[in-house]
Amino acid sequence: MSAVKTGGAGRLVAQQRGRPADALFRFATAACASIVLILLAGMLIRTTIAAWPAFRHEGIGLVTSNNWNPNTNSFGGLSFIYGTLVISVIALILGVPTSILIALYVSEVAPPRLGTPLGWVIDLLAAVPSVVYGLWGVFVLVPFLTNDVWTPLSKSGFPLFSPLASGRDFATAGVILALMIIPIISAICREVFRTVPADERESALALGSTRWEMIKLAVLPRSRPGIIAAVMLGFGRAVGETIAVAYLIGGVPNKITDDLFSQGSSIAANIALQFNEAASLPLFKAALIGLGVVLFIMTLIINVTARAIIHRRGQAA
Amino acid sequence: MVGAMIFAVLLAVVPLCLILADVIAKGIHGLSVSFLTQPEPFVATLTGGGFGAGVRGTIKMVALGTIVSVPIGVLAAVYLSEYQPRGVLATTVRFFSEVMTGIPSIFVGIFVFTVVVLETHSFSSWAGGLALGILMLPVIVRTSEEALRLVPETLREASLALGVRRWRTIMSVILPTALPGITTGALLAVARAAGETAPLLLTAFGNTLLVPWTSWNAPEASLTLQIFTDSRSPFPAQQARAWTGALVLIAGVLILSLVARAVISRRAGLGRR
Amino acid sequence: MRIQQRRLAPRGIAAGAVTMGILLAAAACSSSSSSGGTSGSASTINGAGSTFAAPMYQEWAGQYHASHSVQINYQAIGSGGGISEFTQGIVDFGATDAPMSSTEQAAAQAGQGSLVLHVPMIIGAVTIIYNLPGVHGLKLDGPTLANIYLGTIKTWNDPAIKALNPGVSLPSTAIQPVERADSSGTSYAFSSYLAQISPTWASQIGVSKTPSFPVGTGATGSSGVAAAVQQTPGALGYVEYSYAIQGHIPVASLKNASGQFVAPTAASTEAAAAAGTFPTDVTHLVFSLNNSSASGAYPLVTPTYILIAQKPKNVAAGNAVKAWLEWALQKTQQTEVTKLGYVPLPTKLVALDLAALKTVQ
Repeated sequence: MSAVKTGGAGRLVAQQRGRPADALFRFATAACASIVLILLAGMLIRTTIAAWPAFRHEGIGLVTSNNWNPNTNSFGGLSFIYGTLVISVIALILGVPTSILIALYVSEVAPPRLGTPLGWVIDLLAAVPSVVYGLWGVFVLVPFLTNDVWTPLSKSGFPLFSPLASGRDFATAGVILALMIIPIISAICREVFRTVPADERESALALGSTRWEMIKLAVLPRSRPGIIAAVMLGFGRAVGETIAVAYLIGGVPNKITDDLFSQGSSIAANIALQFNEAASLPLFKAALIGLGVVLFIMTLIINVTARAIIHRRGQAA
Repeated sequence: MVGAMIFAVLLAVVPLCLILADVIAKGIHGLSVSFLTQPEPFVATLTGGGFGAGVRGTIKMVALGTIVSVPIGVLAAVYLSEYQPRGVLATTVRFFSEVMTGIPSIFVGIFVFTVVVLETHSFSSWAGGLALGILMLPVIVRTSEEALRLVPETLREASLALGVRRWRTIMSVILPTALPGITTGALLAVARAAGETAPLLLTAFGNTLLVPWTSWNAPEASLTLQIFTDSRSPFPAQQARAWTGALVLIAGVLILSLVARAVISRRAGLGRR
Repeated sequence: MRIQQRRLAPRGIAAGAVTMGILLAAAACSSSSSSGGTSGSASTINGAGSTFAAPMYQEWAGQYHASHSVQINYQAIGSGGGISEFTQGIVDFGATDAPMSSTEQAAAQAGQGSLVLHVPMIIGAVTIIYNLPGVHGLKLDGPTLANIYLGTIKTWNDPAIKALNPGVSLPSTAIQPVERADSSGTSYAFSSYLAQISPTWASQIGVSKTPSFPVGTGATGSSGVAAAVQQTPGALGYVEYSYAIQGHIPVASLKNASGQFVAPTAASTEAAAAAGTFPTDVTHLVFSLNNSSASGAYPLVTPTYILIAQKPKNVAAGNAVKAWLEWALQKTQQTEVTKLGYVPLPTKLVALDLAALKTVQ
């Protein structure tokens, strides 16, 4: 006879009669769940250990000093952090308004028969592998941007753009990153907009607002935390992107400049480009791993904050 | 305002169409069955041959990644959904597996390099597969948990009320019911893993030769690695192969994504995103 | 009841997955024990390094595989990567355009547990590519090149360049030097040439795979340099000969030590190679062919080396590499190299190479 008792959330839970199978199974699933955490912690710990010689050698200079010269065992990686942030910010500036507008269109404006497939198409942007973005970026985007966009911009004398553009620089890398983060940001924004209660929309409309005013009054304010979270997740994605950036950023260390047409490098791209060479040079390798740990912690903080915002508002992404 | 929205949509859709169009236009010439099965010709300037080494390597390593991540991931999702869903372990795991989906893949490559490649003194397909599996795991956990949550409570209650053991309920009733959702998640994870390059740079390393299906200890190519290498070559024949490889890769990834979506949308209205 | 009749599909799947996992693990373990812990048995060897020589090594690998049953996997990850992977023992041979420094040599010998030989296998030219619409047959010399990359010559119509190109109308556009941002044997060859020519360069920048260029834009890989030059009017860069030829990019003629302006061609590269002086110590066959004074010789020519251990840990793999290299030094294989833009080794160098390989056990 198995007495039934309620477990969490009113669920029926069969009383364990002490059969080992149930306990074993439960243990197995709990173990698998723990593997996720163990893996995460293990990766962090193991890589930090591997990076320790570099931290000891450079100290905080690994991330604060701009002097990357493996030949002289000098590993100041500030330029990589700078590059990572610059291209991600460019990507956000270009990508966030675009994503929000797309999400609004798909969820608020477009008729469902157009909106749903359109949503799928935007999501397809996320399915394109990074190496294809890089390949296309190098052979198609760079010539187009250099000839038709960057050169006029550089001639215009606008600040931030140097006189000569070679096409592989912060700006181009930022553009391709923008393309890559649009699907994430717009997908989450779509979800967020969808959860705005219908009666709020209807009351705005009933008061005589146009659709855009309704969006401004009813949809956007409620969605702000969700949008912030979406932006942060897009930011996290941009920060960690490796291959497409490696193709397009120029791969030159020690470039900290406000010239967006300068070559530069990002943490991830630099690791990908230099790791093979560093593998037998312990300090060099440790420095690259150390920067990888820094990158990891950056993305951890970004993602944790974003998810915390989402969860606090009770919205599941 | 609608004009601005449409402009934004175009800003995203037009490049996507251009990418697809360019990949098809530049890659279609080289597409053939032999492209998928033959290795590259040894003389870099020659046309012909293909990315057989990479196709095989991708299949092998993604398969290994799937085998590693799906059982663990699904069982972890079972724990999150069925046992103590509000408990400390579950909440923490759920939270961090979502966070883990955002880990830079190069970092996973570094980890597996440190733990496997350095210890075994060899690049290997199984290191590559392991890296892919680690990347796939959080995706599987997340999507499987969602799928499991959607299984109606009544099914569970009915099964338990009949005296079926908990674990049996899960295995025989809940998992099969959630199978479409779990499959979707697995397909999406596979699509993601198939498109990864950075972690494989540090673990599988690449190979110009076809590695036997049973050999896992040697460096191995992947479709992505071959595209990456050949796209930076000066020889037009290799660049052409890079485009064809990109076509194969994109086609494979898109097909997987579309199938996954079709599976999910067949569950009328229960799908997300 | 339906529930109990329901096929235990998930359990079957789980069981199947676990079984496959075990099988795969077993396969992995068994194949690892048979390969003795290094990456190659006698039937497969792995090498990595120079992108400069990659097309040739890969072609030789293919031809060798056709006639002998040895598979050679060569990954072009750059000279630095080749040295690094070889030192770690992850590949059976390394390939580098830049000879190892004494620290690298010590590390490699420690890693391999024996003396490491440099065996020069291929000789090729580094070309200076440029983008000046309307200007054909640009002539440059070493000092001018050094000053361009030092930043003291800034525009194309600088008097120094004009003096070398009488009668050619040069624009006043700024020169945009392009260089390798990643570690590169080609950079090593280029910087070693500049260091020989220009004392300023030698003291300020020196010779390295990653010289700290004071000016110019960086690009990754020779394809990156080639692309950057092609896309930027006024740009100048240095790439291996094959990249210039394949990309149909204009190349400059360089003044050699005899005062002739020589374009990079197979003949001029061969002339430089033939006039080279080679060391007598076969365990360290490292030399320079820069700035040759031979007639008709192109001054920016570099050898590229294969690194092997004299007493390899994995004897089967070591012997396989040795056999392959001996095969590649034969006449037929040497003449093949011209198809890809390199020149055959001079006979005396071949003899030295074979002597070096003989010392490999």
